[in-house]
Amino acid sequence: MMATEGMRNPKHEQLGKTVLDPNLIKEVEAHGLDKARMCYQCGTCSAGCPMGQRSGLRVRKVMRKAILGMRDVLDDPDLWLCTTCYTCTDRCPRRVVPTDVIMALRNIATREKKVPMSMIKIMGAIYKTGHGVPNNEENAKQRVAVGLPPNPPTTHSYPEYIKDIQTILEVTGLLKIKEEMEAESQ
Amino acid sequence: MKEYNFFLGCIAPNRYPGIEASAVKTSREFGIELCDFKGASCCPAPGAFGSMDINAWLALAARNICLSEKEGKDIALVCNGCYKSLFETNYRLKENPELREKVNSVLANAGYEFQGTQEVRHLIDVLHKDVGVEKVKESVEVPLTGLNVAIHYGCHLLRPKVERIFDSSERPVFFDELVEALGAKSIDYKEKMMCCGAGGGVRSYKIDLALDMVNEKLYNMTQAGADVVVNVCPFCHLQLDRGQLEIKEKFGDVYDLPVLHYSQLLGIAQGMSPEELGLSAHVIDVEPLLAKVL
Repeated sequence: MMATEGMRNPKHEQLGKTVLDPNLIKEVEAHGLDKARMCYQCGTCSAGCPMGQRSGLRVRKVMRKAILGMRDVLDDPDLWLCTTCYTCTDRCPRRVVPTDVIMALRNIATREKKVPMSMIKIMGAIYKTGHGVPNNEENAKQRVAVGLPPNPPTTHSYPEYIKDIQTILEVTGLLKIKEEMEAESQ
Repeated sequence: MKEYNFFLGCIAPNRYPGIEASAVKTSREFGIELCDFKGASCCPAPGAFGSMDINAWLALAARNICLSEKEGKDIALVCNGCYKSLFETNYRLKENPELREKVNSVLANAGYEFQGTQEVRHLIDVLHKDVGVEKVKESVEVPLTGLNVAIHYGCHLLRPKVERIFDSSERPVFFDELVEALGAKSIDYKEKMMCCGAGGGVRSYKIDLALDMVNEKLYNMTQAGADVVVNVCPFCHLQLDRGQLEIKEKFGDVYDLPVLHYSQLLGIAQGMSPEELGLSAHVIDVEPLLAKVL
């Protein structure tokens, strides 16, 4: 059958003035989320979302935008408000794992350097010390008071392991994102 | 005697060392030795780090598991965030050879290979399944009679249910049974299974919203007559404890509700002193609670 004018080519689809990118959901699916497209917009996710009750985060909307290919979802500051409680995931009747779809979208946003600096700071602490929340002087005293050594037997006591963590951050490309974003924010 | 490598994470050893100390000491009562786990790092924080790169999160979590594989030891831990990172990574890499290969190709750069030979356990699960409620009850020297406990399970212990080992993520009972074994009462309160608000990187991204969530939980617990909040996650613990100071400063709401990790509550019941439990590191004074039970 010949293509007619009425047939839709998903590559050129638009919604109003928004260009839709069919690759967005494929990028999400590449994270092992093969049921993401099964979302039928019932809204169970948003109904049970504790953050949605006090903010603009609408999980159902995030799902719809991801499936339609509206890449502006990656610029939405509310994308970073999900606490990953997985309430929506356990209640989703289509088992699309909305929480991990949000995580996948955040991963894509990170690659586009749209990740909040608060996240980059946590990465920085891990890069430097092995801990997202490192020890400090006051806590070291508390440790001794309860009969523990001032430093835990982690990378704090064995800093030779930190280079392995740094290698992983480097080969996964995260270090580069951190360095570029830190340079740009100065 | 069962030995585990004790995976500490960050918040327990670096903010609330009493949780670490009480977990080690209370476990010995049951013939469980929580050993020094050398060279372990941040799990890394699943919500914050997983949000940036799932594969890097898996690789860093797997590095911790690899260290324990080399020693042939299973891992025990006392934090729900660490549980998500290590249990889920262990589970996924064991179940999914393709993913394991992908993660191992990253790990190879740092000289590690995930084998899938060890188990990752949350201590609360070890206490319930392996030790058992009866043995926990027998270890009690100071029954916590008359104490109303608001239990906070925390999200990542139970959810997502398909990647966990517990019967229910909506109405679990195992933690309640372990609290009541000490003579205390586990009280019902509104939205008991609700998140504390700290996870997913939200506490560092938008603290007002993170606090708004824990404020609702603290209100509900107080309304139900709670004397104490008991948790099994140092990050929830920090949000519930330090969060009360931040809520007071930002919103003016005051609860003064003491917060304890289960290992600390168990420590009190087994006769540990307040000094051993590290209660001076807590923001909210635990003395009124001790006065009630001791």
